[in-house]
Amino acid sequence: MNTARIDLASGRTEITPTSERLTRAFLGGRGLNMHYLRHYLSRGTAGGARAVDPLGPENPLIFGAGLLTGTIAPNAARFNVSAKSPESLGLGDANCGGFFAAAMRKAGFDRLIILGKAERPCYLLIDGGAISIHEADGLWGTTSPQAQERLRAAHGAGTVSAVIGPAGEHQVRMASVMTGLKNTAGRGGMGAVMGSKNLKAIVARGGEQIPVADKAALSAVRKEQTKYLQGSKVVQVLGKLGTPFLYETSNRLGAIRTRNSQDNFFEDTLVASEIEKFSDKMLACTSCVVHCRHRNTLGGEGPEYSTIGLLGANIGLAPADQVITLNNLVNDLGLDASSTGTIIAWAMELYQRGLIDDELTGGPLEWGDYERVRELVEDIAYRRGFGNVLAESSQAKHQFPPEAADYLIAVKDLPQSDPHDVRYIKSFALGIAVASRGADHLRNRPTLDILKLPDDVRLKIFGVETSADPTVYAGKAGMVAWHDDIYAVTDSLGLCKFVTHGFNSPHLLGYGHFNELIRAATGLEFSEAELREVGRRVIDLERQINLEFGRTRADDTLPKRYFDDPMPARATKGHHIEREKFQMMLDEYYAARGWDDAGHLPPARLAELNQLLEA
Amino acid sequence: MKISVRLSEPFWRVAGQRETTVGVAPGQTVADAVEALLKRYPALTPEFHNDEVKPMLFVNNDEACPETPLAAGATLHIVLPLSGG
Repeated sequence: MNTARIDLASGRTEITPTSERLTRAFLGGRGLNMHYLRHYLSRGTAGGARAVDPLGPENPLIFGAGLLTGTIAPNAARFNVSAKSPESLGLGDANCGGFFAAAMRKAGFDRLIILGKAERPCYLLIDGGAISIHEADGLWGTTSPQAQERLRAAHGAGTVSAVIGPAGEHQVRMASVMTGLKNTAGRGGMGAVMGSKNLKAIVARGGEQIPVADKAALSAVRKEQTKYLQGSKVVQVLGKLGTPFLYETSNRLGAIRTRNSQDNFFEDTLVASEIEKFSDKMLACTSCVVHCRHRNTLGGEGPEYSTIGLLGANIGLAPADQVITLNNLVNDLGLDASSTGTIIAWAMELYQRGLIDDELTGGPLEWGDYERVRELVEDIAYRRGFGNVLAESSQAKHQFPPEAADYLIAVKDLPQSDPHDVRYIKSFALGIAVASRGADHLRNRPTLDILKLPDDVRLKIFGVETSADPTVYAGKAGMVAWHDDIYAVTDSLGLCKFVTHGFNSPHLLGYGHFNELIRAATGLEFSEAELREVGRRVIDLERQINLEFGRTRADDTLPKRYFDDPMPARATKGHHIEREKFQMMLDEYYAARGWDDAGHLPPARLAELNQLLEA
Repeated sequence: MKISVRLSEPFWRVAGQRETTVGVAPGQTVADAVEALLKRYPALTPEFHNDEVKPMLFVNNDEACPETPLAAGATLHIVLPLSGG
């Protein structure tokens, strides 16, 4: 399997076998992407990573499939897109499912490193181990579904594309990379980076076989693990209802982000049974055993819980059909639903408080005004009027009065990804504060913290003493660090978190299961401890990248509201994050990771990462 | 006395309805209400004995446990405590 370096400025392509040494150190997917991201950010620009313009040609854009992606391993569909983020101005990394990554590997590549900028709109075709660059003038201006349809018409029904929509073309800082109707590499504005390179799409024709070390063994492991997974209550519920059922849980608890987290519960109109009225089928990604994605009857796929919360409750919008229509619209335009919902809600609160007015917004901006939001979403994607301001995502704070930043629900300038208000469950709060790409639950969310598992079960899983009380601060750092590591491994293998041990379930696939899959698929041998060490290495590498961006301990923090404003209602009423106790959690977390009080890596780890970089 | 019970996803699908009422004696607890509920809807019983994920309980707007006492007119919410994206 190969790694390709494509210079869009010169049109030159270099193809080399993916390094075995680096595979052993980082597996693939997110881990190996991070290695190359650091490598390319550290060279060629005076001032290093911090000086790299995320929308300039010097920013590398890396598509990396997981080590197991495209094989028959359960839920092995995923890839990561990585670059310096134009949204956060820090580490950018987005994970995505669907069918593209399997096709990319079947076309002969597990990683594409895209450098420079094309003179004119273009797209890449990867096919049979070769890469060609094609002009895309006729594709520029199309939505994500239109672009994919035209590329299928041009290159055959068996091809799969990853594309940008109008938002990426206009370098909207929260633009996503799309494949299929809804599969989204959404976080951090990777679509804007792609647009800045004049790259509309990557088309993969996956005709080849992915090399597998022991096909019979992999088939047997797949069969056994599928049976195990299908016995899980969590997997069964996700397969029947998808993620929308999570809305009701968060809403009942009083933890659904509502009206920019001024409130913490909303209408019952957005529960799963209401969403289900607009669903006609459940869909799946490559090799999936869960089938969690709705196909909706309004012309798209989804919505997920995140979109229901952030383009529903968070902007005060209750009708399910309207939320689903917005879901389809952001996907067609190539916008990250999480950032879009968070940024619009932020603007609505600023308008409510009189911090911005009609002169800037071009008209009223009221909670739940569907027509206005629909128009605004399009204006963001095409950078029109007030939409051009919001297209800057968190960076729009520089165009607002200084106190506007107090109402932005973001960490490290990345808007919070999921609609769960973290003031109640302290481990969730620590998780989004330290997540390497900013406020994001998919880096380390300790979802087990609300299951109130018995002491012995928690000790067996986490290996450290933890509290079963989600409102307790002490002892949560080890839990977050444990999730950091296993999610980093999952992302590096290309697996889905819905089958990962610790994500909502004390069961599912852990390091031992991963090793069975790795051995059968690649012939590589890891012990469970060695595999967790890969996760630690990836987390340390991401920390180092953030340090090289100039991030410090002060950036591992939370939105001001989460510290200062108690939650207003329901079971979470009165809860907020106490600043001193938060700093104590941070101390514990750094200690659990082996970092010093400022969050710096131990010298031996830094030396190891540097040595790998030189290699 | 009558207690309202509201079943969230996926439990209401097992019971066939979102809301019901159960009778408990004064001084009885959430555990007694759940017992009454399971007598009426035996198909719900495995949901309460699943070692992977057990229901989360609320009485009115407060998180509850089996020992939580009940008052007339209370609403018991039964929720699946999962989270994520």
